[in-house]
Amino acid sequence: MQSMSLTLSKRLSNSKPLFRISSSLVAHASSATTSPPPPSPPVPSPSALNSLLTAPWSATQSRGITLSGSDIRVGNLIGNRGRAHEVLKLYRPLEGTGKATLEVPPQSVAGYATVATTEDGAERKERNSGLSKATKTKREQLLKATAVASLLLIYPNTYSLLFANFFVFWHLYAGIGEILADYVHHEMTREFVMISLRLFLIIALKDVCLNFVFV
Amino acid sequence: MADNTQSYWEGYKAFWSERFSFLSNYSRFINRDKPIPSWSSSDVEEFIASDPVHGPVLKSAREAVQFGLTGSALGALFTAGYAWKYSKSLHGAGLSFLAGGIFGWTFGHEIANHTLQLYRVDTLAAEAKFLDWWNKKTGGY
Repeated sequence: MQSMSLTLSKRLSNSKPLFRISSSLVAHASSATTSPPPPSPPVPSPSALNSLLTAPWSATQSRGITLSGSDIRVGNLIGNRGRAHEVLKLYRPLEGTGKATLEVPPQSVAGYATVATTEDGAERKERNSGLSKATKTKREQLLKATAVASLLLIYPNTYSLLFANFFVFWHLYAGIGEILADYVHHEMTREFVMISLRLFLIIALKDVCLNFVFV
Repeated sequence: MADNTQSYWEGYKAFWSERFSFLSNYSRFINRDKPIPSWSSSDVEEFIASDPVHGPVLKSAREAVQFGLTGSALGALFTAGYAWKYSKSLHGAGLSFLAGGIFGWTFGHEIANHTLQLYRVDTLAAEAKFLDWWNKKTGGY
């Protein structure tokens, strides 16, 4: 079974990047801070024992994780001692053992890497929240329509009453729909209430038209 | 120009006063020193039997209330049951009960509006006529 070592990426200037102790265990010098991924895949040192004697402190600093190579892909989240790390890059040397570099962005929430961009262009899709541009544009359109409706009432006649009536009820429907979209998470229940609300508002629209236009 | 502006605002006020004229139908029965005596269903039935014009209209209006009550009950129970079935949320079921009741009343009253053809008559005038009849009958001023 092919094995892969996952290590936190941090290289000190006076130390070699990685050195091999055994065929499946890879030790390295690491720390908790973040750094960009190395420009080239690290190569194992020919003499593991010599490196270990040169820098004996590096064994206690080891944070390596050994996982099956076929289970790892770019974008996966891996839990390591209560912290979540995201796989940013995979190295697959010819000799059969693979390595991956993990990075925790500085601005991310502790314990969870939210968004990371890799050189492969694989980006995590953000949730379409209410503050995104599309939703804001739709809300602005509604507010403009309602402003037009209030301006229409300056000219008291049948047509201004009809248009103002329509725009106000449209605004009511969109506003309540947005509230339901935020708080009612079951889609069938939300659709049921939205259809009932639409029928109710259509009847109310008709009643207001009859009472104000055909007075 | 001043005459045009003045006539515009006079027309504006007249227009909107006409739209809200239905608010004055009950004013002479509400703004009183002594309230109107209470009436019962038998008094309403007596008025329906005695008035050939407004009696049938009031009868239809009272039947429409039954449609509204039935629709309200069905709407409230069905909507709250549907929401409770999928969410098991107490406040959600409560709000669905209220919304379903309002929607159900509106749908029921709409069915009554078409079934009893209430759109052809003025139910508000019939109710005001009944209040006037009851006021005279009880010796009011």
